[in-house]
Amino acid sequence: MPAPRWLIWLERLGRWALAGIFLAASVPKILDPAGFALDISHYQMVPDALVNPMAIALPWIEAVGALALLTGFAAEGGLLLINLLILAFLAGLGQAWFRGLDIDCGCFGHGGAKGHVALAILRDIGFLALGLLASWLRRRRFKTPAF
Amino acid sequence: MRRAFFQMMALVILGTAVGFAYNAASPKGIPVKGGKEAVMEQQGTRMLTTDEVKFYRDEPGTLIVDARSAEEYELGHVAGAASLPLDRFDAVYPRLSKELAGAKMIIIYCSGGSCGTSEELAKKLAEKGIKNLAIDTGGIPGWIKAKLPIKSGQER
Repeated sequence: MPAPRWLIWLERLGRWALAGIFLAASVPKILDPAGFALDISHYQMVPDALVNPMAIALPWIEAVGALALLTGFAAEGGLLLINLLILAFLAGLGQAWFRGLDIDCGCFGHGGAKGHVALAILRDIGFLALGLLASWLRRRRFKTPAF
Repeated sequence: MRRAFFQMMALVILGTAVGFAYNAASPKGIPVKGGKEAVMEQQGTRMLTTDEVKFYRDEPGTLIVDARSAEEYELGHVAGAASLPLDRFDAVYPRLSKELAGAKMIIIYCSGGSCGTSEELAKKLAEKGIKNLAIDTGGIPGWIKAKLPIKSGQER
């Protein structure tokens, strides 16, 4: 039996909302890799040797994941990727908040206001809830595990 | 689960490949190796340790700039440093522009470590055409540790 129309559209809207968020987050980082490299280094989480490769690859991984969600092509993988990325971002923000680092989150590009790490954590918790909801809706829609 | 995992890995590989290809082709591409230091040097800004700052600070034509807020500057700053708070850049820059343009070396500092304010300031100054920029990576904690002179109040 095919999934009801409301479920199909709710699942699409969830995916598209996440895709929009991650496309909006990736574009400024793609356009300013130097600024993003500085933002990553301020978290003091990764060795210096990994800072620039991360600044080069991460925004495009976000963008490719967002495109998967937008088109529905490899959407299960896209949802898993985006949810894991949000968890990784939460870990980075959490350790920065715990250590009292006065940093620019860098979540939506370089040059944002400092001192809003706690707000960024709350925002990412909201994004994670949206990601998990989208995964659950997809599982219901296709009656297959999204993860 | 397995299918999702393999799809995710394919997306990660695709994103990484596109990212490195774009970086190689883009005029805004950054060096793959060398970390933050290489990025800053690409933009014409040197990264100095406290020992290197000790060497350069007494050289003629060296200007030391405090990138922190005016309040932080008043609480304690490097002796002889000019205050150019990043958060009041547009208001303060015109007053210091001649001195900055004529300096042989401009050493910018903030709170050290992760503060990032000095890097932001260096970026803004470079955009204004200011050259000979350097960042004191140790910042104020480095000066205190090295027992270099610190002053409080409005010096300049």
